[in-house]
Amino acid sequence: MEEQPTRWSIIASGEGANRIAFLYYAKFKNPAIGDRVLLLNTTMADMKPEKTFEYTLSKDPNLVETFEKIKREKICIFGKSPSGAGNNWKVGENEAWKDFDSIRRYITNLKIGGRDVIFGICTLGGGTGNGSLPFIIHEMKYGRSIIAGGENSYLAMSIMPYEFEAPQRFFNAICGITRLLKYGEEGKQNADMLLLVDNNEIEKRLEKRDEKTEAKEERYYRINQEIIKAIRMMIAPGGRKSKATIDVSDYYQLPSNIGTYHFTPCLSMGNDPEIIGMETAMETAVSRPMAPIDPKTATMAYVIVVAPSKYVEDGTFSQEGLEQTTQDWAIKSLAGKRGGLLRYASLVSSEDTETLDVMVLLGGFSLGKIIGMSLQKYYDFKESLRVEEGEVELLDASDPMIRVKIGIHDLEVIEKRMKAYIALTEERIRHAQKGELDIKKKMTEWGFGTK
Amino acid sequence: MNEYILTGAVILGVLGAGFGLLMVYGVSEVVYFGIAVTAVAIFGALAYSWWQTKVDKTVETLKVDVLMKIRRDYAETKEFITQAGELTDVAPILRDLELLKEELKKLNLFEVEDQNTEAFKAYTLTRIEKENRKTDQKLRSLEALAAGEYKPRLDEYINNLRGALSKLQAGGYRIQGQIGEFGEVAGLISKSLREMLDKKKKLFEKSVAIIDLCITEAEEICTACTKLGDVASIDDCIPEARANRLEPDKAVRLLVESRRKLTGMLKGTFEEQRTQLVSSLEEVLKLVQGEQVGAEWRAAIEGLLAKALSADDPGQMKELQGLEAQYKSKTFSLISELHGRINKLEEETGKYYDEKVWTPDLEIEGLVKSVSPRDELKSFTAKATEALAHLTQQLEKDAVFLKVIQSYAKVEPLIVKKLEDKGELKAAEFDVKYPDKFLALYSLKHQETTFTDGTLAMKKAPSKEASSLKERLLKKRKVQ
Ligand SMILES: Nc1nc2c(ncn2[C@@H]2O[C@H](COP(=O)(O)OP(=O)(O)O)[C@@H](O)[C@H]2O)c(=O)[nH]1
Repeated sequence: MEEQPTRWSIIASGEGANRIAFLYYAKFKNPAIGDRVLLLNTTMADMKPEKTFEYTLSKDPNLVETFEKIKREKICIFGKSPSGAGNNWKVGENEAWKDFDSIRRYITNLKIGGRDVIFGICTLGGGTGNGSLPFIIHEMKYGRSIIAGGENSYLAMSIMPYEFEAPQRFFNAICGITRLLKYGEEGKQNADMLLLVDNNEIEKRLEKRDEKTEAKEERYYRINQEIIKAIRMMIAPGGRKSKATIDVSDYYQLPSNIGTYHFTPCLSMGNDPEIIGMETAMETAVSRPMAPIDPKTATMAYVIVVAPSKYVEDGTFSQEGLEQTTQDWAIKSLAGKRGGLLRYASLVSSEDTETLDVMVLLGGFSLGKIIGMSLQKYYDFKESLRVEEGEVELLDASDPMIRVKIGIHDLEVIEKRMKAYIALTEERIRHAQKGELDIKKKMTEWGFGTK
Repeated sequence: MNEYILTGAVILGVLGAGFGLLMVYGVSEVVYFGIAVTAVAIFGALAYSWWQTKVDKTVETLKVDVLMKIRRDYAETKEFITQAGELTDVAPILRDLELLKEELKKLNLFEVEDQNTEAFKAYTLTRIEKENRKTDQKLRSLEALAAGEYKPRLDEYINNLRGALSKLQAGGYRIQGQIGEFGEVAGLISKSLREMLDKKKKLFEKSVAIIDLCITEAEEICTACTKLGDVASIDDCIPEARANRLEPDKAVRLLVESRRKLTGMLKGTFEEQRTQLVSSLEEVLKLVQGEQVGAEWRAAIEGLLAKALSADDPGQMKELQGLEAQYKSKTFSLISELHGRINKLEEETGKYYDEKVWTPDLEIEGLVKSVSPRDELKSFTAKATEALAHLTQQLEKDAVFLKVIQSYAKVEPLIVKKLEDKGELKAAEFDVKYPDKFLALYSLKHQETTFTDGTLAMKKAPSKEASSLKERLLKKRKVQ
């Protein structure tokens, strides 16, 4: 019997995430998703939920129908705060915690199966998504009330703010990354895999336009279109008229064993299969990561290739060939001389495409560049906070109504966890980069050749 | 009898009504009523007597009508039986008909003038009708008798025609369809003499039509022959066949004969032309196998080839000539199309004109111009195939290069990176199809690089030692 491809559910929280998830859902009807998609958001004063999607719908009126359908059953507005979460992740988290009953009802409605993959999306600069998604994943994974099946994988995709955004956004981002990686009293691993993408980095790869005159909505829209391609490639093995030899999603829990589980997608889409070879496609992909990273520090890689069935049938591309190429490529391109610590490759044959599409998920890379670009603003914001009785009040620059307190201790925990995670990452990279074992010595150690 | 009772009743009714009215309205009114009734009665009586005479007259007319009918029926039957005489002996039946006529004459029931005789006037309508029925029966039985005689003769006649037509077909005339139609009519069942006569007429007409068709065909073949030699002896045959078109046997014999002679004359030429056309088509077909030439073109050429192969009778000279014309025009438009496509592609590829990157085929323009469908077959094919060979080859090359251009932007950053990493990039190490095209293109766009022997590298500024050596050598030379 042929195995059923993995089923997926999408849970997107916050405005930006809602836009991305909706665009993906409406554009690529994928049987692996079916209608298991949930958009979460907090209430917004004088704002209808339509507002979030206004621009997207104006760009493509064909999506209106899907929106009408989704509006009725798939949008959950949670929390009691009349003005939403603002830019304050703590408010987002509190609201989700207070109104978890509503959220749970909607999640139960998704009818998630025992081994489904849950794909969470949030932006890192805001309050709602960034605040609530880490909490929701934690609840689903370890919470007392069982919502999902039990053997699920949890993937989280989060979006870094633009370089020019306010300090608070970066404060949020660092807290958000940490909380997606580790959460709860004991600081257990939260998402099984964290996909980081960065607005700047994605925009850089797009056709140049004048940033000053272009509307903010249009910039987001173009970036979101790239992001959904990555989501599509993740879920491609379950696509219509597609066949994969290996369902990579079965292996998405593996990085947890290594202890580092942050990734970033690198795409090379629309290649002419008669011209571009597999290795070149992989190399182009990796030369365009969706977040600022140095691929030479990556210790893990998942390679997902979608090729037109015609070329799979005639043997141009094959799973075995792909694995070989992946290995050769990894040795040249990943950390160390042995091609990193972990890699998987999957070839998907699809009748729906004419081009060779490649996604490389690089993982375990040094977070130096990402944290580096955030740290100045993180401290700028943190140092502006007033400490009172071991708590700080987080004010929202955009909305004075929103104020919430957070224990100074909680912030320390977050920093500690992030530092520990970074230390482990660097340690793993060093480990991968270490030269080969001295086999002779080891053999002696194992008892061979001793007289 | 009824009339009296009716009249009596009406009179009584009127009187009764008059009396009643008199009682109700008094004298003066009833006078008007009386006058009105009297007037109505007078007019009624007049109308009635007019109607009576008319009925009498109608009876007379009817009698005459029947008389005419007897005449008509007789004449008709005689006509049909006489017609049947074309195929069978009907004299005894005609004699019986004559006897019948004599009898009717005796009764004053045959000639037109008979209607004025006293005897005729004395007949009642019923009597005349009785005679009519009797006559009718006799005529019918005579007709049936004739039909019985006629049937086997008709069958024979049809078989004869059929035989003649198959001779035409066997002689090479293409009348398959027409023979089928003939067979359909021949297969229809006919019982009465009239139906049989009708059938014969139709079949005859059909045969004549077929013969006409064959005459045209023969003339066409003849025209094709005129170029080849003396057709005078055959020329005679055809007008003769035309003159005898209404006599199938004779016409058929002439037609078969002339076609035999004509095809005999044509055989050599036909075979030669056909072989030449077939080999031309095969040559072109070989050249259009590439992916760049659409499948419709292949199908079209294959279709023509199949037709040329199945035209194996010299009488099909005209078709063969038609096929040749089609071959030329198809091939010619194929050449124009490919040429057009190349020109279009080269608007783009032309931007990269460089020995190592992309070059056009400079012969194409002249070759394409030299092809003319007015040339005779051999030289047309020679020029066309040469042009096609160049065109398809260049098209293949252009299409490949276009793909390279389209993918180039994707891999350019990669080339930059590899070049930075290693200082050079070997085509063999670059995983794309046509790597040397990509690298040559890169070096064309980046003047600071060179692409030689399959390796892309940065141009080296000449080293100091090298340039001073050169200088010294130059000096030496001057000195010598
Ligand atoms: N890529 C992308 N980023 C967005 C979008 N909308 C908002 N952002 C980014 O997300 C952050 C704001 O988060 P948002 O999702 O609006 O807030 P939330 O609703 O409170 O979670 C900022 O850093 C924005 O740059 C979007 O549609 N696409």
